[in-house]
Amino acid sequence: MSIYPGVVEAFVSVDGVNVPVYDSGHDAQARRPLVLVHGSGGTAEKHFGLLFPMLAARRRVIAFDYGEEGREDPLTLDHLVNKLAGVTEYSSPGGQVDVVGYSLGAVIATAYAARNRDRVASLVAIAGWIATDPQQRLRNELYRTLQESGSEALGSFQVLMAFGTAYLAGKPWAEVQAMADASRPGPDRARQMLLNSSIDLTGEAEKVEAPTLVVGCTDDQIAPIRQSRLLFGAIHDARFAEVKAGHAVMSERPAEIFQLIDSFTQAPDETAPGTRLPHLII
Amino acid sequence: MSDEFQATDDGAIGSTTDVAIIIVGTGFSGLGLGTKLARAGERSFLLLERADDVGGTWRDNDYPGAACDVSSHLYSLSFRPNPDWTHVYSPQAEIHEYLRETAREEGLLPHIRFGCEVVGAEWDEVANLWRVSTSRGSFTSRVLVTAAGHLSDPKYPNIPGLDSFEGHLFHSAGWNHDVALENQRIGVIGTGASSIQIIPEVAEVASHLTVFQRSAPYVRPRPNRQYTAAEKRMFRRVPESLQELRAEMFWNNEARLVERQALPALLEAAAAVAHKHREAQVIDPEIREKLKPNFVYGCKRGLRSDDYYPTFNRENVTLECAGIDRVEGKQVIMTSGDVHELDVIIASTGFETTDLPISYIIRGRQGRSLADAWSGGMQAYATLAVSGFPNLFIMGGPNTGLGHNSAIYVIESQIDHILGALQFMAQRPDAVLEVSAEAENSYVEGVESRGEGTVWLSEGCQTWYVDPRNGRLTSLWPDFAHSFRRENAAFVPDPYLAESTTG
Repeated sequence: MSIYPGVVEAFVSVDGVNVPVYDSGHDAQARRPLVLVHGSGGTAEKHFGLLFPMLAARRRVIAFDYGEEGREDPLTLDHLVNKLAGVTEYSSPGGQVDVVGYSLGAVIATAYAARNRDRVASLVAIAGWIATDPQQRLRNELYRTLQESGSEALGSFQVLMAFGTAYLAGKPWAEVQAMADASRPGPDRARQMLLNSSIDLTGEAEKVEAPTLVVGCTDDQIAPIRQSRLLFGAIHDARFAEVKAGHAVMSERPAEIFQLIDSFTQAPDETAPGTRLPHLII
Repeated sequence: MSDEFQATDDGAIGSTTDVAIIIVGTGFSGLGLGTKLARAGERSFLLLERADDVGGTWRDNDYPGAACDVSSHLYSLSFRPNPDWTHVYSPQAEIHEYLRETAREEGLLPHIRFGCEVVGAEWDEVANLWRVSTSRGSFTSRVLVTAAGHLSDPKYPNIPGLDSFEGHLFHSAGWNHDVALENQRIGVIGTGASSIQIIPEVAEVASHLTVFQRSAPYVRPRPNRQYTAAEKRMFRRVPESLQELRAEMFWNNEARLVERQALPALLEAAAAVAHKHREAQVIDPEIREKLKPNFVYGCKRGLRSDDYYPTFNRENVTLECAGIDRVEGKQVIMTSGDVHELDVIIASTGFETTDLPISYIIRGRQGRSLADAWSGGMQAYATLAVSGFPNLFIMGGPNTGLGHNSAIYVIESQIDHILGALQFMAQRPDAVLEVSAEAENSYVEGVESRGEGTVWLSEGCQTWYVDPRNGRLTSLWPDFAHSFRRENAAFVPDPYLAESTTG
């Protein structure tokens, strides 16, 4: 993977599985490492192709892939949290990391932070959710129906759901068509979608103690912003930022996400718990 | 020009006018700062303008085809949104009018001295004020702000005999509108941001156009269009729709910075867009090859145009890539021995960006000139304050150029810093703000270290962002625009007070 010049690729063994890890390995100021957790249907490169280099220009960043091809047994949140634990241990043996999760990655990161309070210095949960609700479940089931029937409409459906309405409206039609044609289910997508339909962190999210930044996307139809507001409500030391984008915020607004992570992780306690961060004046 | 822009009388020559704040220049920087001062109720300030109209770069660069290559809704002052921009990328006359309207509506005209060229500015160490001499009398002020920009002083190419060219010669930023270009043999020297706008226009009227290219630029599509009446009224009636669009433009530009961090895959993807554009638009394969850039993408400013490349499909246009050896009479003689006979030469060869002319006329403590302080390359604390030059703020100086986003965002960040300083000074009437050399140096080291590993300092990259005298990245801000604001907009007194003589 060519996510960043000089990136070190390694494997971490978790529950008998080799987890591919991408380590920028550079931090002149020896700050805490930052671990990125991608979302369902994604990979480190697919979801963090722009964010990783932006962050790596500042500090050491580690991302990993958790999709496993060819497995039929049910995927569990515990297994994914174990993978993040393994990558944390690789990144900072016995020490702390900043954790940034996106989509299902935000769910994994939140669960990990609740269960390993001594290892997480700060948490950023982007377009995550606290407990799967009927609106999400309806989309999830429709997705699986289209996929299992081999429908050509799957790509269009994915693009329609993933991207913000304003974002799509501003694109040339040919580009929107190309996006739909190019939309392919990522590795291990089916098992991840099943897991997505039954997430419930209601009790666990309240156990997170790390300073947290919750980022919700105003046009999100996959993990709608009310879910991020609930995470903001559940986590004691949380602040909240809104980004004008759909669920595919990593493609739509990577630089704004970078700005939020960068300024938050530089001084997590600068804003009080419960703060709603204002938009930057442009 | 309307009467209100005519020179105002500033009293008898020979007397000295004293104000709290003098601002040199009335472009986006000077008018933006002036607006904020006027809105805050400040009355004791003057804007000194060498020309007879406001507008800076957007007044001077009125060549055919002149337009901004940053989207208009982003390339405007945040505190003066304009729902009426006609195009995504609006033409020069409209931007100029926006600035004239700003001067008028914000009540700045009484504060402007037109036709007033600053010839010297000296810090008086006894009286603790700036003594500014101009073509229209003398002024003193506690604070001096230079808002003269870095794209304001035209730079001509160094070609033997060019001065004695027997046809008409002028710079793109000083267009001679008295010269009729119809059916003339015209040469344009340079293929930068101005040239690619001029060339398609001139080709339409010239009998023959010769384009002298030293280094082919990357040119990407410029998806320009008119805003509909519905959109313009929506922007007016729903102001947040304009703000959302502005934010979208800003963050899209921010994301493009990552290409410059010399990430091979992203650089290739960005360059591919320009290559595809060129291949689709240029018919002759030989010309297409000559128009292919030979430097790494992102090194120079990225250009946008939809009518530049097709110009080279025209019968009456020649692309000349050999170096110019000399000019004799009406002839331009190439190093290859080829000769071009021309009636008009348009030098579109950029500006003094690393060696700012205004630095030669500003003198700080012990009479030391700013140019002398900057002999090793220009530098400043927070991009605007220099040790040895008390109560001076420089706008559009070192490390303020952006290759990827709107210059107005940088200007507004500097305005915030200066307003913070002025507020502080208002509380402490005797304070002299002079940044310490330590604060300045450590700031500059922090900025320069970020240039390492970027395309600008990579091998084979020649750009005006880098000072040719020392290889330092002195013109450019080598980071995100939002980082510029976070790091530079807030005024913090400590770095300014270490060596000061506060009373």
